[in-house]
Amino acid sequence: MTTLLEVQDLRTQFTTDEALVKAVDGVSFTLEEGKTLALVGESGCGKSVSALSVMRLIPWPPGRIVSGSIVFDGVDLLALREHEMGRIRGKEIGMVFQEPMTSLNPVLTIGRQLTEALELHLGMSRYDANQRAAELLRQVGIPDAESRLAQYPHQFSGGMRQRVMIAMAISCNPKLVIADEPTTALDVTIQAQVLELMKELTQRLGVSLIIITHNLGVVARYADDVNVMYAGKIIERGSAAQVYANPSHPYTLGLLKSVPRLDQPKTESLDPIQGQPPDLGNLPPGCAFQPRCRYAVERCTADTPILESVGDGHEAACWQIAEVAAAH
Amino acid sequence: MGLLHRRSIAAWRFTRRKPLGALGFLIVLITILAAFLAPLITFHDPLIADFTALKVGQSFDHWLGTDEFGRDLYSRIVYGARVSLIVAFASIGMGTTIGAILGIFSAFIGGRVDDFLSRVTDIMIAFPGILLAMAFITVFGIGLWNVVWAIGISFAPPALRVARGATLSVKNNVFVEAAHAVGASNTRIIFRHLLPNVLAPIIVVASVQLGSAILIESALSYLGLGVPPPAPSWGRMLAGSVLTHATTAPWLVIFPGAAITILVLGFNLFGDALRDVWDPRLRGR
Repeated sequence: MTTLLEVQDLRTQFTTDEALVKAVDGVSFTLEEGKTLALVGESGCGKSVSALSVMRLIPWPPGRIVSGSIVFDGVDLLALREHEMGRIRGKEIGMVFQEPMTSLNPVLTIGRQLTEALELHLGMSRYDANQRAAELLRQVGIPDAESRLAQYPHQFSGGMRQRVMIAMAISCNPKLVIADEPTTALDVTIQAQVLELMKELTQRLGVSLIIITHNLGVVARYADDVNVMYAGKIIERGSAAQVYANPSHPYTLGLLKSVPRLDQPKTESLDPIQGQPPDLGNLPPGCAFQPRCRYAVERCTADTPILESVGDGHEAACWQIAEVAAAH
Repeated sequence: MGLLHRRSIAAWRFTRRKPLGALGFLIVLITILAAFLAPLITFHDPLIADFTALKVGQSFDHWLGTDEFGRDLYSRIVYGARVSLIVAFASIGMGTTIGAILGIFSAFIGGRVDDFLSRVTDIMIAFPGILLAMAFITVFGIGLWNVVWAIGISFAPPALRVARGATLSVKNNVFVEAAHAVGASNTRIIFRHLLPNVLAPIIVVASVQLGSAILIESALSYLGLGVPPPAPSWGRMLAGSVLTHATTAPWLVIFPGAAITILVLGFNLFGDALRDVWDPRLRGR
């Protein structure tokens, strides 16, 4: 198993009028070839910014990657020049966005948008690119592909558009696809279809996948490994099975407890996480989760916990791991 | 359903919803045809003076009469349409293109570049177009292409504003980010993704301005700053010694004036209708 993507101590910050927002604050993770990694966390925890940093799509101003390294397939992406990065985007790394209703250009046909990457990266002729685009549409399960190519985005439903986005992401046979909340804007039945499609395609084509989501059900079913993020840091990581069976950070535990489960009696009430998500421009001292944490002790307000092993490849950043485990 | 068929249905719908706009389009179309076919539909050279027929009234030979040099007024008006249309389309085409590209660029880059271009635009808009054009002609001299440049430059700022505004409203859409993610360069994003999105309002601005361009051309010619003689120009046909003949040969003033009025009206009617149809906020009114 070879490592495809290695992110080391990534720090991405945004300068606003009020404060310096550390959206991603020292994140490290690795992704093996052919694996699916999930980045999980609530809104504003830095999971999207991590992914955009890998693509080097952080808008400057106000955002900037301050330090760290992102090594993709042996190449340090942060050292590349902009036009070299342009050859990686879309060709080596495909991206699927959250909002299928706005991620396609309303005034261009589906065909023109699908063929853009093919013409740009593979130098295909218009005819070849159209052939390939039709084949891609068939692969993502859109019938009547040839005539669909001449249509505009408004003639497609949300789920269909997300399929088109997936087709665009895999069009140049990338090594990695980053899906930024790919199903959040879709209704539940379509969510499952789109996820199954992504899983099937990535497995068949041998593509690695990073799924960004706040849906723990998605993680359980589709991810090999999970990184749970909170306030710009990874606070727990491990295989999906480990994190589900044995959540070791109070935040992960809280997330799992706030989701209704079929294998628990209906009478049991949900146990939500107290408090509000933190203000990234003004984080509390010590552990960022400490104001909302029921296991917090004095040490949590003083020292920032670092990731420590709690099992084979399973790590959590908490001073109270033993207590959490005992309570669980 | 063929493309031609669809087009004619669209044209019919436009005519029914905007009869005045269709009338404007018809006026413009007839003028363009007349300008193109000028040698075929006139029977006198517009430049040749006939001293046996000075200031004669309307007749079978001279439909609109002759001027003080015995030149056929009808021929001069038809050939004058060429000057007016060339100046209008060339100047608006140039001014709008420059303005639109700068506007998209300005909004896309943002920051100081945007601030600078916007302030320059504000300053240029503060001057009436005719004043700007006169200043330009005064510096660079008269001539057909100088007139085109002068009018074009004074019409670039409104196009820049419209293009900038339209770009600002679409540039934060996810599809722009998605185009980045596919590996498209900034130039490609501007021309392939943003330009088609902002084209409709720009075309509307251009069509509304065509009428003003003809007015300014006429005004410049009237002031002697337009296309140099002897080329027939509607504006200059109203100027100079003609005024002393206006009492004895009023048609010398009436017909060129009417030509200007009708063509400007045509452009304005068509431009307004186009704006109504393409502006979603005014749609259905």
